[in-house]
Amino acid sequence: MTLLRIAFKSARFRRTSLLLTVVSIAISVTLLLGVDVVRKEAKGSFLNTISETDLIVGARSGPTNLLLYSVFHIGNATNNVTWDSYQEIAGRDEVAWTVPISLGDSHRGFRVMGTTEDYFDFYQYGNKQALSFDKGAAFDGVYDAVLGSDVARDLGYEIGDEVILSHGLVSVDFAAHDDKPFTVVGILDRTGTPVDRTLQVSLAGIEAIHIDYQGGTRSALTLDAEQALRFDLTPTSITAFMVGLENRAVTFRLQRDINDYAGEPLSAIIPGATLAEFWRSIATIEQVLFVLSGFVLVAGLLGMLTTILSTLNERRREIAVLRAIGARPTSVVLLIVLETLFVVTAGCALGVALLYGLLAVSKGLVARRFGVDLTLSWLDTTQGAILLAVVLGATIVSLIPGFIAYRRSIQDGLAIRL
Amino acid sequence: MSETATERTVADQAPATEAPPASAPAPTAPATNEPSAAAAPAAGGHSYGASLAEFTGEGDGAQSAARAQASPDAKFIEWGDLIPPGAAPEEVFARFEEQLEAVEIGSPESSALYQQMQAEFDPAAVNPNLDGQKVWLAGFVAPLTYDDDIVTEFLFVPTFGACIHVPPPPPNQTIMVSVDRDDGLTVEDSWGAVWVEGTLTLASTSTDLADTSYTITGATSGVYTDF
Repeated sequence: MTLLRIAFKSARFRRTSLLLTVVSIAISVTLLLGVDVVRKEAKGSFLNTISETDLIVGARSGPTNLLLYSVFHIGNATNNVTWDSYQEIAGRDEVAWTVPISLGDSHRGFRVMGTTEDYFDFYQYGNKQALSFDKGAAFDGVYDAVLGSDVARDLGYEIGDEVILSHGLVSVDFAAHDDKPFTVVGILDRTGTPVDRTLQVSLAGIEAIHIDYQGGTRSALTLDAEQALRFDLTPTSITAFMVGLENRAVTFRLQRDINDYAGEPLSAIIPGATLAEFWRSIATIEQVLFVLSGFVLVAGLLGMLTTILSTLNERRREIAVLRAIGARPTSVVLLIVLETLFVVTAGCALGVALLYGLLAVSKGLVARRFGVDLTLSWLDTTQGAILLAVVLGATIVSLIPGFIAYRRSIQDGLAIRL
Repeated sequence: MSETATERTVADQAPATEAPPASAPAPTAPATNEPSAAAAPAAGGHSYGASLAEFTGEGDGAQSAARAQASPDAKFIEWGDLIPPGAAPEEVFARFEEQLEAVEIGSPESSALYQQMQAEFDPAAVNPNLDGQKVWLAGFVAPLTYDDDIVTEFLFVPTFGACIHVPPPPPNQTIMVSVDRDDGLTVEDSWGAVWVEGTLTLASTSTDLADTSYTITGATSGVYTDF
């Protein structure tokens, strides 16, 4: 107990350098834990983007590409699926439901997705959670739009507002479909998935705004919103579609059937399996990040070692006095170890505080920019293990200056040597 | 339960043996330790289409060690047991072999025979004797549902990967498994061979195609470690 008091009082005289050490350890700990938190959240958020959809079908391409553009709205489709093929597959006995997806337009940087009302009934995310409406309801008319929660919040839209979609995927409106505005009829609850950053409209709506857009640009013949409605607005093609099966045991067989589809080259993927496969390919990056932050921690611990070693010179007389009044050699070692424990515990505590502070501050930004929902939860076992490893590592490292101090305390007398 | 089950073929073992009559009791006992044809364990990773036998280097030791992971009341089964007695392709062929030799290939009679054989070889046929049995078996996972990073629902199949070069496993070689979050697999676990233990039930749906299929609800699962 006396030793603890001595160690504490002695440390107070070197508070500046020790405080800096605490900060450097805190930063390493924050980084190490932060990487772990973000890694886990990103993984959970990623894997929970879609559920209960048995197959996703699109034009022939790689499974990852199909998953990314249809579900995450990252990248673009290689081609479209014809409406006839879609109808044929949707009509099969083993198919319980389908939801078509039509992509390619945007609104002020947010993607627009053409679909049917079924989307709000069948699309599920997380652990089988369905979409729910914060305000309003699903679209009914051709020019109705349902907004994801981020779209509504960021652009400040309310029910009844008019939105103008733009052709293509840039946020600058060079080619706006300004003659056919849409009305906001519903705003979805937050899901933590790409749905939050998407505007949903009906397939007929997508057809209507492109009816005078034949040939890749606006044609000479322009039709206003009313006139467009008089045309047949059944699409000729869609980007992809989701499939739910009557019996999941036939998943593989239908997937194979679609991949071998004679009508046109199509690809079918099992979303869950493709998510796992894709995560596997990016898991290396995850590990590299972890290793890098491990190195930062090692650097932090070495910094601590340097500080303690340099303070040993200042403490020569202190230790000599302690020895002279009867302190045992082991007490000297313990004194150094105790000081390290102060520093490292304070560093860990500060690091954890810093982490939660950063998470709380950056939560909104991260969700908006990267679509990853950071939840503030207690430290889990991995993170606990990391902290324990830091404290243990520091204690072991502190034995080095401890041993040096012990050796010196015998050699050094009370006399001041210059 | 008898260990000396009727001689039969396991899905991934090529040599055809004499078929038991269709009325014979289901060979539900585990296969006796037959040496596997493909015994080389795929060291350091595995290729698409690798069967469990190749993956695990199945042999005397492997099977008895695998048993250690199963709870004592669970029946240790293999994928071949899921095919109903008499419906394995080799058995169907054996039954028709004599008739096939009697007719000329290409004749109308042979076509009729082929169709008859095809009718008997039904990939959706299930083994009714396994309904309600507590079983333990090892295989590979195609994840369907996640709870955070835990796989809570998956399709359980005997071969690894999406099987591009060969047709995918038929319905009677696919088990729909759901597990509680606490007994689930992490996404990393799902990349390799896993074991599943639980009560096998025959779930039927109203669709014409694929009437019945295997389901295990409330299963326990884990990484298959006997290599």
